[in-house]
Amino acid sequence: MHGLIAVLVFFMSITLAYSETAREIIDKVFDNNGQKYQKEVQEMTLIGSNGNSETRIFHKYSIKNDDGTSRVLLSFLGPASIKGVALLTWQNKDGNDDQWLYVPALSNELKRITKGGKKNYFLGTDYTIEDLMTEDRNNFNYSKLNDSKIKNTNCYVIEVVPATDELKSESGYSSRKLYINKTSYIISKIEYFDKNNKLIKTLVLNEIKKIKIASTEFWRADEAILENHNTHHKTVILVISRSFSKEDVSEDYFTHRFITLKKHLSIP
Amino acid sequence: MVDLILKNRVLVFIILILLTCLSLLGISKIKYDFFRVFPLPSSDPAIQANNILGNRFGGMETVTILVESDNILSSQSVQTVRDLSEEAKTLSGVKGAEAVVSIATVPDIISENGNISFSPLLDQLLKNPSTVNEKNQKIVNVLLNSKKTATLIIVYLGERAYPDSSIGDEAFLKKHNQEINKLIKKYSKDKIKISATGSLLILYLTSESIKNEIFVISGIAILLLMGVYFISFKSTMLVFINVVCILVATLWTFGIMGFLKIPLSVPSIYIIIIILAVGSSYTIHVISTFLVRYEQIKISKIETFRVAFFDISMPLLTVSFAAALSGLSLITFEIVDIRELGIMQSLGIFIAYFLAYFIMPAFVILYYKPKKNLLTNVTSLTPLTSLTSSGFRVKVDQYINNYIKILTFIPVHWPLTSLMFTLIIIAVSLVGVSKITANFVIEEIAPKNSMPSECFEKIKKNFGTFRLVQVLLVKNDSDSDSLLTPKSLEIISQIDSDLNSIPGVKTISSIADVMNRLKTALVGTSENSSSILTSKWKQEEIDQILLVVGKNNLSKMIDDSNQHTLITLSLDQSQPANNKHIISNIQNYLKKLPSDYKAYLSGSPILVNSLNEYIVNNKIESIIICLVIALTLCVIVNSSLLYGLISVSAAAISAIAIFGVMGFKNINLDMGSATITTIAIGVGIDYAIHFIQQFRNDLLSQIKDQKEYDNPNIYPLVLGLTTKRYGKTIFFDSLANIIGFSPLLFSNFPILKTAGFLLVTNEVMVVFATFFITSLLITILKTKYLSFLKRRLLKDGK
Repeated sequence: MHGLIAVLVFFMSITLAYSETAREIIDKVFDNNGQKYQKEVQEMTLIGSNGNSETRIFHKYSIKNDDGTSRVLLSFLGPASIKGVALLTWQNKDGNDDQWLYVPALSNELKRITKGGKKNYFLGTDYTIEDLMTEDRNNFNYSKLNDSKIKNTNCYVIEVVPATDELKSESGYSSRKLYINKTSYIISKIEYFDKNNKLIKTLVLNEIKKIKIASTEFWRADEAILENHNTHHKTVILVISRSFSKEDVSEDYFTHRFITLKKHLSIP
Repeated sequence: MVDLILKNRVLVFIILILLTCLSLLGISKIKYDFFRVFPLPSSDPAIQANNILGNRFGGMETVTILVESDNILSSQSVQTVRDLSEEAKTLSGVKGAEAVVSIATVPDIISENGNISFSPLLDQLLKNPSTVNEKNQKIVNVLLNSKKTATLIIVYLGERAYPDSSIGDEAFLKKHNQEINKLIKKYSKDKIKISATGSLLILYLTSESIKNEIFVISGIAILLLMGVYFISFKSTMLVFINVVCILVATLWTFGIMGFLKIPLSVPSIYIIIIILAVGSSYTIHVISTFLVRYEQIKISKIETFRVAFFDISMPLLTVSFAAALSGLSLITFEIVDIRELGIMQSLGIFIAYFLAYFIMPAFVILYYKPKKNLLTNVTSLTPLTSLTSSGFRVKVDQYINNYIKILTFIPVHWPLTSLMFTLIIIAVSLVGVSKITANFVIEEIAPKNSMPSECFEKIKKNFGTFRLVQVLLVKNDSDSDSLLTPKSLEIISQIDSDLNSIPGVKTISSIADVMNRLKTALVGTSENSSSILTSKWKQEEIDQILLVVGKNNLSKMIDDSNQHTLITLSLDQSQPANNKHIISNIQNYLKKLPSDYKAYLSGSPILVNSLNEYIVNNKIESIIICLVIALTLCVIVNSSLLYGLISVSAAAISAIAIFGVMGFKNINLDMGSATITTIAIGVGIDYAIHFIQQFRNDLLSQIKDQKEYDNPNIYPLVLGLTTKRYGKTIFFDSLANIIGFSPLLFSNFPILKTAGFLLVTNEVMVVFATFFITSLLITILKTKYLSFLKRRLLKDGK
């Protein structure tokens, strides 16, 4: 009898020792996004509360620097009237990213966006600037909640809260809940709560696929649906194609000259 | 009827109790209608425009938060404004961040040295106020006062404020009120004062105040009337019977109101006072006549009532019909609240009459035990004087008698002078009438000293008087539906400019204006910028600007379909009388738009303008109907057109005088003051009818033969006799009404306080007019009135 108890305690302690913390889970999620070169062709559909929709096609290029920061270029291809509009972002370690806007119909110069405010909506979508910023894990507190199931898939549920009062006041949310697939460590759903702890937005990631490049395996979602429960507006992003090859992303893409010379329009 | 009740007293008791219980059930069904901010008919163009606007852009109901401090641009105040604006986005009913309009949320797009800044106006004001561009300066002027000591945060409650939405729901309004108060408490500091106003806050506070005020005002009225009853009859039982009678009348009236699903509103308090005041005069008439006859005839109570009924049935029936039917004249109003007030007023008066005339006498017979020397208690129907010591009583009696005597003496002996005096009064009153303006102000519905009311006054003081109006523009052309096309933007830009040039109108924002500013900011300064800015729009420019800025940030200006856009205007309200003219100019301009564009005008000034027009037009109609009804009844009762006209004259002239008082005292014509004429006329003719009835009886009893018929002094003689015998009755009847109406003066609602003042003043005037004008007209027109006497004398063979 004593032996049995000892064995049980041993196995329990092993289990407990291997039970991941919330931070560890989040670190694994971040590791999933560690590719240096990314190119995606995306289709973004904005659906209004009365069902009216508008669709945009754009290319998204990103390159990860050695210091962990990234550079991202969004280049709009369609509809025809917005072809050529580009948004260039250079991420900085201090969080104050540099952004430039190129609006060919109005000017052949890149306009630097000096101040936007994290709570502003991005290009008319339901994403705010805050939603799209790379998260500095040291700025948040992560806590594990009870596990949940999404479409028969077991998920960790992690609550994310800004770590300091200053960050809390800057953020548009009191907290977020991340539903993380236990197998793939990819986020399946995010719930956003306002300052009154009321659910205002839900992001659901679908069409999750495993991608294998050389010996590396990681996961990506091909569909993201963000619904704003206040305005009954939706943003649906479909990834039409993607590449992680160096050949598809050049460092030249992330320069002013490349854009003002309209070379971003002729990338294959 | 009395015999029937006495024979079946148990059954009658049971029926009365059952009816009263049923009324209580009806009363339990009464609700407050929160949707009646503007009680206009649904067919009204302003309401229809409001509905269309609500469908497309969500409700335009707002709550306006006022932040005051020594310097709004100080760091503490700035932080408060930012935090408050942020937290306002979480209020129930708020949809989308753009629903909160403040200097901390309205973005300014600045292009400087090749950079674009999308930052709130507040940031620009703090950095360099001169960089706020001209068009945004207009928005700044709306939101920040010139001394920088007050700023507004306007929160749009996006759910439609209509019956199929939760926003008019009582639970929602209570929550809204709580949330606002919580915000105010949280952010108010020593040096920062915060208050709020808005129609939803006002509605909620009004409904709460009505419930309290109904009990307070009714209580005061009943206590005062109990005093009058006691002084009149010196009998607790009679006081009890009278009070029960008018209370039951009130309960039955409100019970019917509940079953008819007529909601509780501010005019409901008015109805209670009318029933209590007017109903009490009927009960006083019945009991007083009974007591006088009882002392005179000294027979049984039931026989006494039979005799008393003979005295009072016709006059009482006439005056109650006149008062009730005058109330019904209010159904000509297109404003729902006033129509319902008219119906309930009439119903209440009829019920009071029914109970006073048919039911109350039976209870007096059953339960009242008359005291000895009754007359010393009743003192010839001079209630108040019996209260005081005999010496003082005699003096007061003397003063009253002298006052009434003078009022009849002067016109009898100096008819021409009196006629001139009357005509001068009418002329001066008409001058006052010409000064009356109709101006409904929703904040004046709110209880005085309430936060929304005080906040509104502070906003007026800090920001001047202006109101926002929306022009909803719709594109009808199905080939090219969108308003976000080059041609449409150019047309909207022209409309914006044209509206801005109308005197009294300033455009605050339009989609064309915003797109122009965005274009300017995004183009910046470069070699080709001037050519781009002066050239016409291209579709790719529009689409690229919308992509960058995000159409959802413009959701208060253009809807999802791109077919409906709003142009926001501010109307100068410093001279409300010009409002109608300004609105008319806007409407005339909008009628000339290209055929594929349709415009709807909405906003509180438009709704108020519509309401004012209904009040003025319907008021005139209701007065005419009221006078016609009163005249018809008087003619029937007197069997004489001229006597009918005389009966109505005193009340009609008093009504003109009251309007004159309104004009000179700058009392606006609104829903309260618009309705007092009907009750004023209805109650006013009561005295004239009684006076003339008594005069004719006295004339008949004095003229025994042809000799006296031809006596030129018969009129002064009989007028003097009638005045002596009946004058004090009229005087104290009026005093009872004054006491009955006076509780309205204690109301927290300015609209009711004004109505109370006008009713009380009217009572004073109508008593004066009854004696003065009636005596004057009888004196001047005496030869015509003898025709009935001639017929009578001939018939009697005299």
